[in-house]
Amino acid sequence: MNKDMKRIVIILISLITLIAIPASVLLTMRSQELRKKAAPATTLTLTPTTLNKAVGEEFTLEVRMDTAGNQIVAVDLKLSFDPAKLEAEWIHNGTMFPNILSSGTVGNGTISMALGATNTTTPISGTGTVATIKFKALAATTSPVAVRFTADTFVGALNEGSTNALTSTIPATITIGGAGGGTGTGTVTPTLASSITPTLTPTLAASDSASPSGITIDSPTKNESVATQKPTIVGTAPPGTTVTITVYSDPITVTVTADANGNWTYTLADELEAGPHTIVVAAQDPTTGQSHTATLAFVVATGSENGASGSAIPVSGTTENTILLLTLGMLFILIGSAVPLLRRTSI
Amino acid sequence: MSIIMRQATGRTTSLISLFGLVIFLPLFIMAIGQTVILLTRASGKPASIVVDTSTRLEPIKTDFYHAFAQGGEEKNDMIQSIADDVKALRPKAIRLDHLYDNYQVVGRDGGGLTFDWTRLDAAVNTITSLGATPVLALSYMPDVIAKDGVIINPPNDWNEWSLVVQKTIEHYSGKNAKNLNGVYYEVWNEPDLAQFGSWKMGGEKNYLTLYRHAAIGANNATGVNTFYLGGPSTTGLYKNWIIALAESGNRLNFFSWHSYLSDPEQFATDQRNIISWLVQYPSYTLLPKLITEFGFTGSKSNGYGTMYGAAHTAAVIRQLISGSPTYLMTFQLKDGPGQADGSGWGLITHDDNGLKKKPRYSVYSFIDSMAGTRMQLTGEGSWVTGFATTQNDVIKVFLVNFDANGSHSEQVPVKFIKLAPGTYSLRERFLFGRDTKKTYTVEEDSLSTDVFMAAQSMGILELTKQP
Repeated sequence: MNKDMKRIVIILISLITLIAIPASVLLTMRSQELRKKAAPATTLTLTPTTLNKAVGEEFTLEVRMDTAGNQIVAVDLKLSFDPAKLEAEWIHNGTMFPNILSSGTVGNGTISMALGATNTTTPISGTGTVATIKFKALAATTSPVAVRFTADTFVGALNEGSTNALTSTIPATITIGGAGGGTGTGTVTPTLASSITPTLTPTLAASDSASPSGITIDSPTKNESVATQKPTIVGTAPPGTTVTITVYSDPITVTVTADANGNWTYTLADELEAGPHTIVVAAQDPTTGQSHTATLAFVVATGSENGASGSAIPVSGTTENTILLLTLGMLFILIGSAVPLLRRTSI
Repeated sequence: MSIIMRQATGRTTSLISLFGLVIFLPLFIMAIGQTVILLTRASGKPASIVVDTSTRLEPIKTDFYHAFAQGGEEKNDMIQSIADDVKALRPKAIRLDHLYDNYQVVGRDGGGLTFDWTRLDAAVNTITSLGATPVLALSYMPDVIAKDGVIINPPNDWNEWSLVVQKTIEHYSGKNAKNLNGVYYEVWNEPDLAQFGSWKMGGEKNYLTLYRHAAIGANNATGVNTFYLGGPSTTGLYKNWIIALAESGNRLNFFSWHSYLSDPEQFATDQRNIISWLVQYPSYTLLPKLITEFGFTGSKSNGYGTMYGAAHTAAVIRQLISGSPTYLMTFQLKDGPGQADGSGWGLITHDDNGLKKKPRYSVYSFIDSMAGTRMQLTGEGSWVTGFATTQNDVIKVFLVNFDANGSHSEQVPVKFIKLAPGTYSLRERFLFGRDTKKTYTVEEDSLSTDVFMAAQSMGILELTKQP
C-alpha cells in the first residue's frame, strides 16, 4: 500500500468515526426518549370499588393489578382502613403472584403482604388478582369508609431501577348499615355507584422527581449525598395541606402542614442510618380533594456501624437478675433504715 | 457493719431486726419473683383457634427447614459419626464453616500456593452422601496468606484470596473435579463479630473488599457447574450490609444472615424487612435468602437440650411456613466436646456423651406430617401459635406453645368451621406426649374442642370425616 492509499484509508476511517459518534448518541437519546415517553404505569385497584354491607357481615376484596407493560418482579402491598368500622380477617395471594415473599399480616387497621414472581427471568405482566382480603363489618357508618393502599406500597419492575412502577391506586369504599341492612352480595351496589365516585389516587410518582400535581421535594435533591444523619426535608404543596412524609425503609412517618405560601419543611428527629434512603411525600388538596405524591432518593453519607434491622429487639433482663438486684436494693434499704434506728437506740 | 454493731446497745434490737429479716426477706423475694412473672406475662393473649375448612391456600413447603449447620468445634469431619441420624433428618442443605483453618487446605511452596483438599473432601463427601447440598462458608483467611498469619485478618495480597476462592469453587463445582451442582459459597462467617475479624462496611477491614475479591475469584473459576456466591453471613439481619452488598455491583447469588432471636415472630418480621428493603432493587428481590444459622440464643444454653429448644424451633418454623426463606439452617447438628452438661447447640450430643438425640431432633419429622395445602387459621395467641393444612381429606392443625420466659400453659379452644355434617374422628397427638382419638357428630357446620397445651409442647390435631 502506497502513501496515498494509506492517507485515503485513514481519512475514510476518520470520517466514518466522526459520523458514527454523533449518530450513535442521537439514536441512543431517541431510544431513551421513546422509552421515557412509553414509561408504563402500573395500577392497583381494590375491587369491588364500592360496597354496601350490614354490621357483622363478612366480605372479600380483590387486589387487582394492571402492569401496563411493566415487567413486575415483586409487590410489597400495604393497606390501611378504619379499625373501628372494619376488621381484616386474612389476606391471601392471588393467582397472579405465585411466590409469597413474606407472609400476609392483618393488624389493627393495617394489612401487608409481599409477593413476587417465581424468578427474575419470568417477570409478571398483564392484569390479574394479586391478593384477596377478607373483612368483617364492625360498626355502622354515616359516610362510606375506605380501604386504601398506603403510600409505601411498592411495585418493583425490571428496568425501572429503584423507581416505584406503581403510579396509581384505586381504593374501595364501604358503606355499613345496621345489622341486616346490607345487600350481602359483595357486589357493586348500583345506587351507590352513582353517588360515590371511586377516586383515582396517584400513589407514587413514576420518577424520582416531584409530581406535576403540586407537591415537590426541593431538598435534598435527587440522589444527593447528605452529610448529616438528620437531614432537613424541604418542599412545596398546596397551601394549608397536611403533608405526610415517609422516609424509608425504616420507615419514619411524620406529618407537617404547608404554610400560606405552600412551603413545608421537616428536620428528622431521629438519626438515619448511613446509606440510601427514599422520601415519599403525600398530600391531599383540600379544595379539589385530589391526592398528590412525590418520591426522591438520597444518600446519608455518614452513619454508625452495623445498622441493625428493625427486627433487633430489646433484650429484656432475666427474672434471676431482676430478683438479685431488687434483693440487693432491699438489703441496702433495710440496712439504711436499721442504722439510724440502732443509733437512736444507743443514744 | 462493725460500726453499727458497736453503736447498738440493746441485744433485743438486733434480734428483732434479724428475726424480721429472716421472716420477711424470703417472702419479699417470692413476691418480687411473682411480680416479675406477672408483669412479663400479663400482656399476653391466649389463643382461640378457628380453622376455616372451606379455604385452600398454597401448598406448604417442608424443605426449607430441613437445613442444618455444623460448627467447627473439632478439626475433623464431625458429621461422619452421626451420618445415619442426620440422614433420617432428610437434610436438603448442610453448612460448614472454618474451611481453611480447620481443614488445612492452603499451603505455600516457594512463591506459590498449594492446595490439599483431603480433609475438607472427607467432610464434604459426607454431606453429599446424605443427599444434601453443601453450603460452604469461605472462612477464614488461610494463615499462609493472612496478614501476620492471623486468620481473621485481610490477606497480604488480595489476589491470593481471589485465587483461594477460585480454586475452592473449581474443586467442588468443577466439571472435571468433584462435579457438584448448586453449591452455595458464602463469603466468611459472622464477619461483624470481633471473634471473626470485626469486619465493617469500610476501613481497612472492609467486608465489601473481602467480598469483591471473592467475587473476582468466583468469576475466574472455569469449567464449573452452577454455583451460588453470597453473603454477608452477619450475626443478624443488618440493613446497611444487605443494601451495600446489593449496590456493590459484585456477583451476588444469595443473601445470608444468622438469627439468634428468642422471639419467633421476629423471624417473620425479618422476612418482611428484607423484602421491603430489596423491593427497590428488583434484580435482587427474588434472590435466595438463607438463614445460615438460627437458634434462640447465640450462647450455649441448657435450653438446647430440652423441650424449650424444640418448641422454639417449631414456633419459628410456624412463623415462616408462609413466605419462607430458601433455607432455615438449624445450628447445629452435633455438640462439640466437653458439653456433657447439655449446654451445646447440637441436635445430637457429642461422641463423648453418647451421641444422644435431643428433643429438637424430633421436631422436623413431626412437622413434616403437616404436608398439604394450607387452610386459613385465625386466633393465634401470644404463646400458642399454629397453622392448618389438608391432605387426602384429612384436616390437620399444628399447635405449638412456646413461652420464651417460663412455663405458661393454656387450654386452647379450637373450632373447625364450614364442615359438612357427619361423623368425624379427631386425633390429638403430641410430640413426646399423649395420643388420643375421639368421635364427634357435626349437625350444623362446626366442631369445637379444647386442647390443653402444656408449656413448651407441640401437637397435631387430625380431623377425618368418617364414611
